[in-house]
Parts: sequence; structure tokens; C-alpha cells
Amino acid sequence: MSSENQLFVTDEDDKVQDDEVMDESENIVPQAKSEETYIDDEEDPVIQEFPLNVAGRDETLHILQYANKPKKMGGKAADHPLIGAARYKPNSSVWELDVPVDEAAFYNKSRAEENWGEANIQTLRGVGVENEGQYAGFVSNGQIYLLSVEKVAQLRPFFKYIDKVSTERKQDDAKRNANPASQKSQVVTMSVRSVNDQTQNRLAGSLLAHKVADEEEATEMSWVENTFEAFKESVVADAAAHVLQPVGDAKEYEEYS
Amino acid sequence: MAAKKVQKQTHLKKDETFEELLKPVYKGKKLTDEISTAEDKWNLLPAFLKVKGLVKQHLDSFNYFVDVDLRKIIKANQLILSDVDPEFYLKYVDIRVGQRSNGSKDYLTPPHECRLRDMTYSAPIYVDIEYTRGRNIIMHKDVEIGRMPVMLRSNKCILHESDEAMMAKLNECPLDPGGYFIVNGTEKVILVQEQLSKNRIIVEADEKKAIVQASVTSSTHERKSKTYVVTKNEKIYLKHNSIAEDIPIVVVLKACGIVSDLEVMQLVCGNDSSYQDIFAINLEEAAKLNLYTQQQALEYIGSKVKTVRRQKLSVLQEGIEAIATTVIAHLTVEALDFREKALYIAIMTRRVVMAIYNPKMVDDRDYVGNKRLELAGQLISLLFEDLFKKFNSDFKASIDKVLKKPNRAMEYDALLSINVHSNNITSGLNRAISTGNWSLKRFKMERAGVTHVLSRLSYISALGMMTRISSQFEKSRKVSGPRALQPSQFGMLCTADTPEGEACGLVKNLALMTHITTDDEEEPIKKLCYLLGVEDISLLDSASLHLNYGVHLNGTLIGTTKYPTKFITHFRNLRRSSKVSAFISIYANSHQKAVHIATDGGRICRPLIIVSDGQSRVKADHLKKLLDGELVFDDFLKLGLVEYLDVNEENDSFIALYEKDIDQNITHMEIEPFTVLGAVAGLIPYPHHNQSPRNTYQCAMGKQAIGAIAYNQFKRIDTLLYLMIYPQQPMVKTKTIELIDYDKLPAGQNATVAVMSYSGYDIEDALVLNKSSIDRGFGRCETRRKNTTVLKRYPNHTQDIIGGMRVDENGEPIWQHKCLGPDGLGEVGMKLDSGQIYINKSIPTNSGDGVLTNTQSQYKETPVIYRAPEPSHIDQVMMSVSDNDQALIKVLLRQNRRPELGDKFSSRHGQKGVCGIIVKQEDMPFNDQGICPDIIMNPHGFPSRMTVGKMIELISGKAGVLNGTLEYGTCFGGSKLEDMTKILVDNGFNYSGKDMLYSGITGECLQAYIFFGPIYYQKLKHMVLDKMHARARGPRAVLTRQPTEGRSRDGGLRLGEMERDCVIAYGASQLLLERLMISSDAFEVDVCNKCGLMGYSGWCTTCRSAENINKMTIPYAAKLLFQELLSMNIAPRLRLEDIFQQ
Repeated sequence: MSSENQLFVTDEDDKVQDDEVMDESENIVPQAKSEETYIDDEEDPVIQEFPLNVAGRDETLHILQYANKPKKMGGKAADHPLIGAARYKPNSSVWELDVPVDEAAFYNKSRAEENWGEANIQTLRGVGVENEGQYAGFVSNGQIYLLSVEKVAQLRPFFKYIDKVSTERKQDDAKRNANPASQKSQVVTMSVRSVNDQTQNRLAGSLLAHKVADEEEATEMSWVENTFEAFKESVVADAAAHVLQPVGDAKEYEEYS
Repeated sequence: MAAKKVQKQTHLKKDETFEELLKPVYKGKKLTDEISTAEDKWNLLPAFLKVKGLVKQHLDSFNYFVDVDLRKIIKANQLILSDVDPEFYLKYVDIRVGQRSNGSKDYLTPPHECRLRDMTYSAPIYVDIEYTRGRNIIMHKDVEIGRMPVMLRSNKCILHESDEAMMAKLNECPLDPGGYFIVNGTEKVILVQEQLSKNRIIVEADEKKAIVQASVTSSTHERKSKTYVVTKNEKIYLKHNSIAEDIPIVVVLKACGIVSDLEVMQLVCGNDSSYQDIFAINLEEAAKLNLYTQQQALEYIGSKVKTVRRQKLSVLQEGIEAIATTVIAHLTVEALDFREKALYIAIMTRRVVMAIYNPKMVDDRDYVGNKRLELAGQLISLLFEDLFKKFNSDFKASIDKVLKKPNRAMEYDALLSINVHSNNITSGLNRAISTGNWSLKRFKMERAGVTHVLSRLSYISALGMMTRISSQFEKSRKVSGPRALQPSQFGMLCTADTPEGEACGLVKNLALMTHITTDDEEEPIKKLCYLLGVEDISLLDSASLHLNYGVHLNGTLIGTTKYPTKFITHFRNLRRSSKVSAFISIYANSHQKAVHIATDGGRICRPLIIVSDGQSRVKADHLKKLLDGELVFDDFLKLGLVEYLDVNEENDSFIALYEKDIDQNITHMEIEPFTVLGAVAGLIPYPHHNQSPRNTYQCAMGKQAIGAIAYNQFKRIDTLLYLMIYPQQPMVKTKTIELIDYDKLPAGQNATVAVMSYSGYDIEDALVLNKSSIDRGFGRCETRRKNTTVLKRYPNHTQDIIGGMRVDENGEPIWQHKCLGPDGLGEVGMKLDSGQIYINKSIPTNSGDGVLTNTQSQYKETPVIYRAPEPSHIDQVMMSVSDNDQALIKVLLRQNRRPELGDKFSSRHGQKGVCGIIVKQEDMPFNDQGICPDIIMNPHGFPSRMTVGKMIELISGKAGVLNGTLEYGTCFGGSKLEDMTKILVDNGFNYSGKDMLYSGITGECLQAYIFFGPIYYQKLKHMVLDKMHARARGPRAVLTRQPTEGRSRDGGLRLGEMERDCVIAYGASQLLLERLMISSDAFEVDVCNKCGLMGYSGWCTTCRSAENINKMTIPYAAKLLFQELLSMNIAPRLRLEDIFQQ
């Protein structure tokens, strides 16, 4: 878990760039070749060639995409918003990040307090989706290092405070409107259900997933910044230690393609 | 060398049908002859048909069902659990049809025996199961759960890959295409059904109502539902049957987790400002409802859902369920992430917005690329899954019943109760196929008329039925769109073959070289797309979604690509090198900025030659190898010379008709242009010279032509069979005729026709026939009619018996029994006159009584009496035992018929006519060689019909006769008129085909040259003998006492409503009285003039007197009316007056 913590922060480059990096897919070797030849046709010569390293061992990389972040964040304080707290539900792979709201600008404090009480945190929420064959990469010393990505989560605002207020209001309504009929004492016929009544756990599919996610305890995580360089070095060092050997030779690849 | 080749061919011999076409010497063309690609590329067609056959679509679909789809169904329903015992489970491991787990195949009763014995041609369905008995897990293999009707010539059929000798041994015709079922002795075809494609977005606009809607019919194994995205008051809503109200689209997107308005805008409109302007108003809609979060939106939707559930769900859960499974049901969300669904709905919305902005961006429902064909395999698969589910629930119920008992003496073995229900599957399948009623419980679907009896009127009609496609559209609707000829059906559906009248354009036929795809796996294709550089949709942010081309797999967006052309080229190259199935299509739609990949079943596609760099990839060398038998059609696919294109991909290509049309832009070339026509239209010689409706008429008539039906036609006992005695292959053939073997089972004769006027009995297309030609066998045919009798057994052990013959005092059989043999059955070869008996059956009088009451059984004679105006001969008598152990007697009665006045004939150009007069040969005109015409046709048939093809057929036929060759009239080709006239001139005839004739009556030379030569004529099934009808007196209906209706009941000839109007208008009152009452249902009634009601035998029951009774005659129907009125408390009273004042 801790390794993960230091990881996702580091690769959060600009998104567009990010996507391009992820483009490189598993069978990068034959693919790159064919693309090069293709581009050659369009008079686009190869300027430089890079050695590829499929690096990393047991790191679990998650990519967090800030889906609603404008391309140019004001102030360039960071490439990502300031994170106050981070939570993760490993079974349902739900990420929640708390971003403190800048109360100084564009913030109507009185309205917020009137409606939702303390609403000075924006929560970003996203579900991690597994992706096969996606790699995150960086360039170091003229070499490309690729690390396999486990999950990608798109983070979107999650207005917990609105939902909270609306459910509270609904409960109030229910209490207030409780019709007198229901308050009267009633004779209720009770029946004993058999023990293995299946209506209880018959939820399936998405409903079940939601139920599991709601009931799962989130793991609190600490947010660590500026670990990219260290991580990079560790990966480079690691990759240098294990040189990957191709399973087959060039001929076999040619035959395959 | 030659010997080697022959050997090779016998080795390859699987289907000899097309073998001849592939032999080294074929139609005068030797191996050493020069091969030009332009001329000989048509050889790919027989090669295609050799692999694919004419009914391959049916066989493929059935094979796919029994081999692949059955397993999928088993897998989806593999577990049976008990509600009572949580330990119990039963699991289906495998399923096979007609084959045991050790690979041994079951013996199937041969199909012809099934036909004769009224049995079902079926194979057992075996499953391997694994279940618990007590604490043990038991595997059991080869448990039969029912029997599956087997499609003839499918890979489960015993005829599969059997050679001609084997077929003959099994009494089967080697030319019979198969593709049908035999259920209870009748041959049943499941017609191909045409539907709008499922799981695809269709955008439609109604400009009058200003409505734009995108709809998608989601279809999964479990359910079928339709989701709409519609405009209402310029705002966009989502509509679904199980949601009570239309939901504003932004609310739906918010419920899918797209909570920010900016992102909604990005997903739907991208950065196109005109789309944004149109869409912006919808964002307000959600804001007005105060919905900001996903949870709020889900609750809003949840409160509108109107599904009835056993299980109570909270409003939020209802909302989740609606979004996850109900809406766009083919994309079922199993987890938390709704992004896929959000994107799908956003794309639908985008298409609506696009159509609002530009009304031309709508889809065409009638476009063949938007249609899918549903075949026998898919239909049976739906039915089987339904029956299998029922079987499992019955099975589960019976297991629960046993397991519920508290103290069982023995451990319960579930295997014991599995066989109890096996009859449900068998009879369910049989019933559905034999009645054609497809009722699927889980879709709440009832469809009638899915199956039809295979028409065995002629070989062509059977073949035509196998290629027929019926549309789901209602026939009564008056829209022209679905009936119109679609440009996109070129090469896929026959352009000529459609019925006239109400089903015109709704019933279509496949073209000659088509293939219908079966389902293919999506997952590997998806992976391949990602490998080819498609960006995964789940990684993309909403802003960059519409920047690039979207990649859609079976209608669902799976990613985007920046370089669509490159991606498509890569993909196609993989397909051409058969790394990917040949039937997967890929094409770009630049209007939608989308690349579409289709792997689903039911698409129509056809092979085309690939052209690259301005050159056909198929070279003379390849064709040579094809003719030598070194290459087969599939090799052409593998070598990337030929590929299949479906309609959508065809639209993305440039296809040259001929090699001469090829230039740098061309991507494909036709294999043969005549394949735009189907099998039935392919019979027409020179169809490209005819006015198009004439070809359509011929397509309808070709199916009614009497001819040879199959090689086993004399062994068949069908309800009614028409056979021609001396059928001939046409003088002017087409390549299609050879390919479908019409020349081996022809339906018609080459008649020498003189186009001239003769006798005045030839007006209105009537034909003059030569009596001597008829004597020589022209147009002679026979009808064979079956009569089935079952000897029943009764519960009290009595049964029907057949008595012997009765004899008179001389020991001779009485007249009625003259045709009977000593066994009480008609003797083969005897002539039956009307009133004679051919099965002397008796039934027991006391069949209902108990076993003990009567030992001495008494019988009542119920002989089967022949009743028809013309005598018949007994052709065959068959006695057998049917499925349920009752004796079955089938008697085949034969009538030999020579043409007579009023019999219907037609040429192959939609020119039908009845025989108007039969003239003795000596009165017929003749030419100086002494040739007499068989038929004289009136020249007025030509000018308005414009059947120039018929004239060219005559000239080519005449040239063929003189030259000793068979000429070709293939569509867009065939023997050239120029060459034909050359032959005529060389043989001393006029180039125009006109001859000088002499009158047969006066011997004088006729005033004009007569167009004279052979034309292929078909005798149609409509014959005077079957229609001729008149009656003076006869049977009357019991209720109304009016004459019965119809020829078969010896009915009266009706003076109908309109005729009655004429008689009234003319004032012929006495005629009216006679026709409507006296000759019909006159009835003498006693009317009481006091009370006005009817009495009887001179007595009024109401007044209790006979005083005022008057007799009068009224129609019996009127009397019935009065009585019926009385019965509802209305008293019609008759007031009688004297006509003549006294």
C-alpha cells in the first residue's frame, strides 16, 4: 500500500501527455516497427531511437484522472489540486480524495452555511477500472521505462453534503408527514420465515456492487508529494538489475506477424 | 498427368454437384485454352457454391446453433439449485446432439423413411451432468433430455458429406439442397426473417411533428427492450417502457455519474458550438428539478420506475437497477462504474442533436445495412432456451418436492426425475416447427407463421423457398419505403424476385452469391483494436472524446482513434491474411466520425475480388489452379484475393463491374455481375433485355411450373405432386441454370413457336396448340395425390380393420370393390372410377365401451371411396407403422393429363397464356423444311410487354438447333445476338429469325414472314381439370339451406352483390326472385295475419287458431332472421296484403 501512495502522485503530468504515454501497448516491439515504417511513408523520418525497459516489479500503479480539471489550472501551484485527505476502498476500488475549497475566491460562505453547513471540502470520487496492457512510462537517460498500470480511476466531484442534506430532509418529511394511520396500534400478523430465506441476499450485479461499496470501510491514506524522482531512480536501478531477455528471436516475431 | 488429375478429383470428391464444372474439360474449354481473368473469373462462382451451396445460410446457422450456441445456452443456465437442500446442486457440463461422449453417433431413422412414416427426423440431445447424491458428487454422461429435429444436410444429418451413391441408397435426391426439417412427415422450412438490427442506434426524424428520436432495441439472452432518446418541445428526454415518465437526458447522464454540466456538454457536443446551442437548454431542465448529484438523479429515476418486483427495493436501488440493467439492456453494468453506459446514452443524445442540427443525419430503416436476417438456428436457439429453462424449473420443482420430505428411506438420485420432463423439449420443438407458432415466454413474444411447408411443386419452388426472406412489416400498412427496391440490396438480395400484390417488396430473395454471417466473439476483436492503437474509452476524458474518430464494436463505443484510415487498413490486412474471421466487417462513417466494426450474426455479405494498385489480385494463374482443382474457394480467401463485404463495408468501397473499369481508386471487382439475381430469376434468359416487371412475373411463375422435382420423385408420397412426363432442359441456358442444376431437374419443354395470328382463338394471350405435339407428349403431366388412412386402436382393445372384397353371385367382385385386392386394399395399377373403393376399412361399433362388456365385436363399414370427376390410377400403396404404433396406410393416386383447352402455359419471360384452341397438325402452318409449330403465339403479346429477351431467346435457340449447341442467355452476357444471327445466316436462314411459312389450310404461302423458332415453355399448375365446375342441383348447407360454397363441396355459383345490383338496375325482378330465392333457399312459411308471427302446419301457436293462416314463400335466411330477432325480444310482424284487390 505504501508504495502505491508514493506512486500515483508522481505520474500526474498533464493529462494529454499522460494519454499519449499510455498509448504504448503490450506488444510494443512489433507495433512500433510497423508504425515507423508507416510514418516513413509519409516522409516523417525517424529522429531518434529509444531502448525500452519494461520495468517495475510489485508496484501497484493507479492512475487518477481529474476528469473535470481544466487543462490549465490557475496559478500552476501544482499539476493537480491540493489534496487534503485520501480514502480507498480496496474491494470495490473506490477512490475518494478531499480537496479543500479555497474560501477566499468564488465562495459564498453564507449560502454554504445556510444550506449545507460546513461545506469547505470538495470530494472527488472515482471507481478504479482494470485495464490490461496499459503502461505508464517515463524517459530517463535516453531510455524509456514502462510500468504496468493496474487500475485507472476517473475522479469526479461527489457532492456528499448535498446528498446528506437531501436525505435528512427526506427523513424529516417522512417524520412530519407520518400519517395518523401508521401511528395507530395495529394488529400485525407475524410469520416466521425459514432461516435460509434468500430474499435477503438476492441482490445481484450492480446493486450488489453498490451495497458492498457502501458497506465497505474506506482505508485512510496519507498523501505524499514529490517522490517522483526517488521513485524514478529506484525503477531505473531496478531495471538495470534485471535485463529482460526476449523469449524468441527477431525471426520468430517476423513469422508471427 | 490427366490420370493424376482425375485421381486428385476423386479424392476431393465431397459434393459432386459442382464437380463437373471444375473438371479439366468443361463446356468445350480445355486446360490448355487461354485463360483470361476477365472471362473466366466467373469460375469462382461454382467454386463458391461448392463450398457454400445454395442453402448454406440455413445449414451454417443450424450448425452454429448445435455446435456453439447450445453450449452457450447450457452455460448460461448450467446450475440447478434446490430451495430446500442448500447442499444440492446439479450442473450441466456439456451438451451434444446425436453424438455420445465417446464420439459414437446415434442411428437416425433416414429422412425419407421419416417422410413416409409421418415421423420426425430428429436426433437425441445428450447432456453430461454433475450432481450431488447425499454427500457424493456424481458425474453422469449422455443423459438424454429430449430430441432435436435435425436440419437435412446439416452436420448432424446422416446425409452430411455423403456421396451420390450413398444418397441413392437412402432414397434421397443428391440435388436436394436440404436446409429444412421433417416434422411428423412433412417438410418444414423456417423462412429467413428480416429485422431491424439489434443493439444499434437508429435515428429517425419526423419533420411534421418536429420530433427527432434515437432508438436502440437491446436484445440479450434474458430480455428484449427498447430505449429511446427523443425530443419533446426542443428538449431531449430518455424514454423507456418500464419508466413511467420521460426523463430529461441530463438527469440520466447525472445518474450515470456525469455530474458536472461541463462534462455533459463535452460528452454530447464536444466543442462544436452549434451543437452546444441546441443542447444547452437541456442543462436547465436538470437544474429546474434541483438535481445536482448522482444520488439525487438516481432517486429521481427510481421514483419513476414502474416495474413490479417481488423484492422491495429502495428508491435509490430502483434507480441504480434501472440505469444498470433496464435502460440500454444490452450493456449490463455489473459493477459500480456507469461510464460505458453514460457514453452510450451520450452518443445517442449526440446523434439526436446532430439530426436536429442537420435533418439529413438520420438513418434509413430500409437500408439493408441496418437489417439483420434471423435464420433457423437463431430461431430454434431462442425456442430451445425457453424450453430448456422450463425444463429446468420443472426439474427443480420435482427435486424440491422429493427433498422436502423429511425422512427419505433412500438417498435421492436426481437422475431419476430428469427423464420425466424430457418429452417437453421434444414436443415443444416439434409443435413449434409443425405449427409455426413461436411463443417465447421470457420475451413475452408470440409469433405465428414462422415455418412453412416446403413447396415441392417444382425443384425451383423448393429452392426459391429456401432463399426467401420474409419481413416483419405488416402487410396491411400502406408505407412504400420498406417495399421499395433499395440500392443497397445490389448483389445481396435479388432485384427481380418478389411476389406481386400485398407482400410485394416485403418478401425478398437472396441473390446467388450471398452469405449470412453467424455470431462471432467480440472480446478478441476488442483486444485487437486496442493493439492496433485504439485508445480505450475508459481512459479517455470527456473533453477529448469527440476530437478523434470513435471506434464502435457492434454499435458500442469502445475507443477512439486518431488515424481511422490507417486503423482500417491494418484491420483489413489482418482479415485478408485470415488472422481475423473473414466475416467481420469494418468501415468508416465520416458523417458520424466513427469507425464501425461488426461481428454480429445475420448480416448479408458477398465475396468480391480485391483490387489493389489498379490491378485485380486474382490473376489468370490463380484461375488456372482453381480449374485444376489445386485451389478451392477458401484458398482464395486465405490468399487475400477475395474477401467478403457486408452492405456497410460495400458502401465504403469502390467496386468495378468489369476489369476494364478498374482504375487507381477501385478497391474491389465483382466476381460476376449476374449474381445480382437470385436462383429463381437466374432461369430467365436475357433478362437484361426485358422490361423489369416481366422478370418479376416470371419469378412468380417459375415456381408454378410443372417439371421434375427430384431424383427420388417416384419414391415420394406427397399430398399433391405435379410431374411433367417429358421435361427437357432449355435450349437457351444460363450459367445460373447450370449452377443450380435446373438442367438436371427441368420444368418445361422447348416448343417451336410461330409468332402469328391464327384462328381468332388466340386473343388475350391465348395460345394455339398443335394436336400432334400433344400426342407426342408436349405439355403432358401427371398428378399424384396421397390419401392417408390410420387404423386406430381403441382403449377396449378393439381396432379398425380392413375387410376383403365383396363378390356377387358369379364370384366376381362387385363394381365398387373392383379395384380391391384380397387384402381389402386397392391394387397397384388399377383404374379407380368415381364411387369405387380403394381401402375397405371398417371400424368397431362399440369402441367406447369397456373391455369386459362385449367380447363379440361388431364392425361398421367405413370404406374410403374415390370421388372425383376423372378416374385415377393407384400408383402406390404403403402400409407402415407411425410413431404411435398405429397402422398407417398411404395410397398414392395418379392421374395422367394431356393439355386441354384452358390449361395455362408460360414462357420464361412473364408471358403467360391459356390454351385457346388445339389445332390438328395438318391445319398448322409449316415452313419449307416441313417444320410445324408446337405453339402459335399472337404477336400482340410483344409490343406492350417489351419482352425483347424472349425474341433473343428464340433466335439463340434457333441458332442452337441449327448448330447443335446449347446457347447461353446469361444475364449481362450470354451468347451474342450477332453471333447467333451469323449462325442463322450460315445455315440458310434469315438473320432476323423470320421464316416463310405456308398455310396449313390452303397450302398458300403466308403473306408475311413469320418469327419462328424454339422457345422454352413451362406448363403451369393451373389446369382446367382442377377448376372446372358447374352444378344444377346439389348439396345445401344445413343452417341456411342455401347451396354450399366452393368446388370441393360441389357448391353453387353465387350471384353476388354486384351482380344483384345489375339485375336490380335492369329491373329483371323475376330473375332476381329466381336467383336469390327459388334457386337458393325458398321456404314455405305459415304466417298468421292476425298476430303477424309465423306458425306451422297451418296453426298459429300465438293466437291458438288456424283462422288467419296464410302460406307464403320467403327465403329460409329471412325466416332465420325473424326467429333470431324473436329470440332477442324483438317481434317482427308480417302484415300481408292482397296484391290484387278483390
